[in-house]
Amino acid sequence: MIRRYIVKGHSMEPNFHDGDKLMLSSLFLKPKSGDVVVFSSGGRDYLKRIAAVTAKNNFTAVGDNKSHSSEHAITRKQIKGKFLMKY
Amino acid sequence: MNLLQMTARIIDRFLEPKTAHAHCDIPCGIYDPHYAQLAAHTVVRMTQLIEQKKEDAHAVARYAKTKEEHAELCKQEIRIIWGDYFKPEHIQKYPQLHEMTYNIMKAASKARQEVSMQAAEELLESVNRFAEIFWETKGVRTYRAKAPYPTEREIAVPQLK
Repeated sequence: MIRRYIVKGHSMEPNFHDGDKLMLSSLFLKPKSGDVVVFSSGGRDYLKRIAAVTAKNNFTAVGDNKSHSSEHAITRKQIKGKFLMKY
Repeated sequence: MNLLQMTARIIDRFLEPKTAHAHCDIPCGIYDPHYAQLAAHTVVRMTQLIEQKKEDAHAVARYAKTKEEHAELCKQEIRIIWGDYFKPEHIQKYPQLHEMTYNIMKAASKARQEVSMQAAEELLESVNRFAEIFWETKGVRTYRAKAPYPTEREIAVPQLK
């Protein structure tokens, strides 16, 4: 399944900019370190990169722009899709 | 532009894409309960000094002022970590966090309003426990040590090596 998102914010610069439109896949999702994912937390969707697999189905996600991002501990269930391409 | 991208752009005309947030509060990621622990120790110390120098009105006034300031500082530091650092997944893992934070607010207010060593010690203990949970969420082990302060009470310290 393909999901469409528009980026809001600067925590993923220089790779993703405010206003970029992205397509993500939620099929055959096996998140690994380095993947860019959208995950749900506190009722919001966030775009971050998986920095580490901390345990089975547990990950640490961070922004590419370290000065504008904090760490998130997330689980597989929170991940809604993996980045495919911009459009 | 491939067919998939063209299709997505056409769909956008009728249905807006969802928002993926790529931001957070600044400063980001720099949180530490140490200030709250120092403040709680200061509340204990000021309570000790007030009890030791009851006859000196001027000294008591100064100690009381400092005690109140640090009780408030302690509350502020705990509120920042509770509100800005802890995420839903932390609350899920440590469901006692909300009640613990509430109890720290109440303990700090009591220690501020009264000259009560029991209240000051309860505040310090709850702040130390809060600090232990904070470090646990970062995967950092802690240990309790006798603080090198005149309070001669414990402090929860992260093992950062």
